[in-house]
Amino acid sequence: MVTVQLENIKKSFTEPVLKGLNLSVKSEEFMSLLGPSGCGKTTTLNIICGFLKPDEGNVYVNDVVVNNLAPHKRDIGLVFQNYALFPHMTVKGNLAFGLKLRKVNKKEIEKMVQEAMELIKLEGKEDRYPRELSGGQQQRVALARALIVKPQVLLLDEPLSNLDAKLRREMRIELRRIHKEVATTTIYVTHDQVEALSLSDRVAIMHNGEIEQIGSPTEIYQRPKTDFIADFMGEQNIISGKVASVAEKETVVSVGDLLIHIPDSSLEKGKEVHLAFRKENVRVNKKKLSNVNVFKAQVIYHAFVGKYVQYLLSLDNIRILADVQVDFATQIYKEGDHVFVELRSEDFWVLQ
Amino acid sequence: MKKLGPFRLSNSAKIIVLLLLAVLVYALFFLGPLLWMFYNSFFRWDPLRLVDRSVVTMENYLKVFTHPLYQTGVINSFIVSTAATLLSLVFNFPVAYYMTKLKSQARAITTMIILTPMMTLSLVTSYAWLTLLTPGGLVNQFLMSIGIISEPIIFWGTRIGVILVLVYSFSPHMTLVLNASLENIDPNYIKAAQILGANRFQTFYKVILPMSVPGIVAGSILTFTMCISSFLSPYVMGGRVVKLMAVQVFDFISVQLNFPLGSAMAIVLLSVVLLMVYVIRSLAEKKFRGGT
Repeated sequence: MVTVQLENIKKSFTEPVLKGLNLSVKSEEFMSLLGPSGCGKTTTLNIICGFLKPDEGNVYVNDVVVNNLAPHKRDIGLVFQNYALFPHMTVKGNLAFGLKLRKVNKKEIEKMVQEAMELIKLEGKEDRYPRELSGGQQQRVALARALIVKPQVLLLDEPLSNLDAKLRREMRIELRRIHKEVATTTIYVTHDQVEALSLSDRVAIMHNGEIEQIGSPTEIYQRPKTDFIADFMGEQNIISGKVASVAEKETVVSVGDLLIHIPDSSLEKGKEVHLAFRKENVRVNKKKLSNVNVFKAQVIYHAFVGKYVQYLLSLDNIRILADVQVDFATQIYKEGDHVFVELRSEDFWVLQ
Repeated sequence: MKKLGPFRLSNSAKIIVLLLLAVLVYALFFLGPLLWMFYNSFFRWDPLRLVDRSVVTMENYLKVFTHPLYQTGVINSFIVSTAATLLSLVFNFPVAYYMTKLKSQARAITTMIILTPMMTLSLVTSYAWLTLLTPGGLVNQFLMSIGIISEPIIFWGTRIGVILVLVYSFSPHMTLVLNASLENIDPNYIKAAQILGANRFQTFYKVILPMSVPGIVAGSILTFTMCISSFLSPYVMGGRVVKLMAVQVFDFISVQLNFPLGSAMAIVLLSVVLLMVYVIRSLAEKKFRGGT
């Protein structure tokens, strides 16, 4: 079941912001829209809400085109970065706002507000004004206010970015719990990859007004498809080379004088490719332990970060990063040391 | 203890010194004359010495409240100022609201237009209004041509005329104060209301209006105060036909040189203003608790 579908959405202000965006969010799914600022994610959110009209394309909510529906008729819950709790109303007033507009009777409102307060664990604070609550509490009230009307979709716009690191961690867990409990289809807009990865069922990476990759958090993290995503999801090693030979189960890519064996066999011989591998998959040894994907290297820089050592290594003219886990028995190499770098062939993937 | 040099002052001492200066200026030039006036209002007028301080009396106040002429003055001033304030509020709220939606250039031009009443001498604008509002003037001609009225409305020497000219004169103040307060409303509140199911009217009534209460209060107090103490335009428009406190105070003090009675009336005027400030504030507080 699909709840929200965006079909070929285009939107320009002075410059094109969305260039034919397609996205479908399944029912009860937690989907993150992840991207740097200026990638069009806020515009997308405003289009789903109806605050902006797309120049082209359709927005569907439960298979109904809602392009020309005003925001107040769309039945969407929205949580703002700055919460936007009405300052002239108590917590209860804020929660009851949407219910009163839907002509829910007083008794029912009372009951629903109580349930919502239990859901966000703020029982007894109904009569407080928003300014009398902490940031985290306001955040939870904002969430409850959006959820209490039982919307078809819940949209969250960078909801945690005004909180400090500790609270953010707690709220991530809270958000996950609340989503499990209410099972509302959720679209979570953020530029924070940790939030997106830890919360979502699926993550959609936005870049330059388009969705560049969509997949589970593990897919996105372990196999980013493009240079941009690989870079955005944390510093990766990206090297460019040429396909030297293609066999049934193994392709060899030449990078300068180095020959790298990768399992991908869908490539053509002679093609220029970008290879990526994660820095935590690089193993650094004093001796040569294998014959495949082992390269001579020299340490240019090292830094001890506690759990691991960061190395900057030079392989011929290529520079790569390696995060090597260490304990008291591990040898830490110093600048200028000659070492061997070893990678498994399945640690490499080809970027588009 | 920190040692201070002979001419060195600690920060808090500096603040006190600076504050003292301001307090002194206020006391000397504002509170002083006011108290002097208050003091004079309890004596009798004397044609030769102007103020006869031999007897302390309440008769000036009695006169203000019992003499039909001055009674009318108090009542008229109150009615005219209240009506002008309310009209100004109703008329300028939409202006101030739509100004928040303008882009910077359009806003600058609009602000200039709004400020025009303040740019010319109020005497000139009052006479301009007078010509526009004569029985054969543009306003009456227009109203008659579209059939709203069959006979010209008499504006000169009537409360309606005075109200109109007051609304015009003090619109800039109301608009700018309202605009400042509306400008402060985060657009996310409006979005939040809409997405929760509020249509335009509900959004306005339940969110924008209550959140602009501080501006409404400030604008109303300012406008009311300026209206009730305004003298020149009401005098041109109302002549001496519309009895108004401000005009009467002017007459007592500048024409008849009756300082005691003029002072008493000015004190009454001040009391009306203070009372109104209190009423407006407590009304706002009651209706929209926590509306800041």
